Amino acid sequence: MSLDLPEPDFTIGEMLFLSFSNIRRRFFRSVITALGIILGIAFMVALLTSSFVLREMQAETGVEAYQFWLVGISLVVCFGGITNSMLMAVNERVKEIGVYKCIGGLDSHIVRLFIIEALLLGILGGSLGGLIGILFGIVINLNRFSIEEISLLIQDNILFFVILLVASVLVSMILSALATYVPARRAAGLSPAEALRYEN
Amino acid sequence: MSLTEHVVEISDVYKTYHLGKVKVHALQGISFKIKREEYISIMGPSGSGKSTLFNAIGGLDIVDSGQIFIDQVDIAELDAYELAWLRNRKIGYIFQTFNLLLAFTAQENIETPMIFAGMPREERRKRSKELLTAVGLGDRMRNKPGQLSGGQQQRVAIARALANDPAIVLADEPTANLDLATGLEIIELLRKLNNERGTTIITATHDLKMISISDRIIWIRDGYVDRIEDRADVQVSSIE
Repeated sequence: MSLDLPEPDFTIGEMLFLSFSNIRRRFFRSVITALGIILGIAFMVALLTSSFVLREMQAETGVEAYQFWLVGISLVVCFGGITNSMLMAVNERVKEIGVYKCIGGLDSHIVRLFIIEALLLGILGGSLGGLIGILFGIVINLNRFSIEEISLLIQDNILFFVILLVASVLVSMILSALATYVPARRAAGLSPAEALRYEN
Repeated sequence: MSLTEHVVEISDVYKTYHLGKVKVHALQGISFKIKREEYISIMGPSGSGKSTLFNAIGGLDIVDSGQIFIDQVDIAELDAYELAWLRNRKIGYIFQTFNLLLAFTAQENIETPMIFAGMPREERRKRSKELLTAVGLGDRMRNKPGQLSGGQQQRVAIARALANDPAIVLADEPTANLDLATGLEIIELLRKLNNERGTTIITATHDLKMISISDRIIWIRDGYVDRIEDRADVQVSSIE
């Protein structure tokens, strides 16, 4: 049985509009989700920055031995923080996914809506988190080195900080998208009736 | 698609839920046909299978066996894409709990099914405005569901159900969360849509106010069709 249907004309512009409205209208919830990302990224980037500064200055501080572990832990915190906030954000919206399905949303439309939202939050959280992390990583070393030394270091290594910032945006985008894709895919695969019945 | 007499045809539908080790036989061989432009009420006590039947007709849930034809298309044979199209264009849904998208204004809520249908923005704006005016909320377009009363939210839901001019509007307990007067207004509105647009309306309800305006009433009990009555017959029997 074929209904001979035309391709739906659901443009990326429409999706961006819907996703963006969702973030804006659920502003406080989005802020909380973004904070989860920002904290995770900032923690990791601050430690990476700090360890970079110490290494470049060849400071004999005795903390080098811990750096490796700290960065490892910060990665775990970052992964956990982002994954947790995105999972929660999707999980509390399963009913909404059911509504989208009832009014004719395809599974792929719905998943894409959530992914775009996650990417937008990921870009925001990653760039803010990266900036805060770099600032913090520098500030905590100000008691060891003079401002002149640090600013010289930054000037010489501006590329490192740019790469660090780009990397933190990428990491946060990829993690947010993945942590959204898995539950959103699962929820969109439910029948609409099941999704509407879903209780958190 | 040709104009067929029966817009919904259900034959021998079974559905069983598994709640842990307990089996709940929600539907046990239900069959009936609904004509185009009819106003049908599916009535029965709580737990009789009304909502399950509602979900089955609307293609919102899969059934264990039996066939459901919407405009002579067996919905079990549709793929996900065709089912989404069916929900988008053929059927409009109204729920007891309204199920509006809380992040969007009344107008945007009505536009969402049109976005999925690929309607251009200008046309969406115009049509959603017309629909909101038709349900008497022309002045509340920019309000979000949280800023509307229950009755107003249900009106928005009705306008949304009509977004892509469906052949069938399915309503699951549309008046259950509303007070008596508001419920009557919603019933009036549904009746009006049925008369003016020729939309087939199927409501699952235990609201007896529905009886006086329904063309036919399908009584469900324990997952069976108990009896099907025309309006004239019911009015007599409900007086008794």
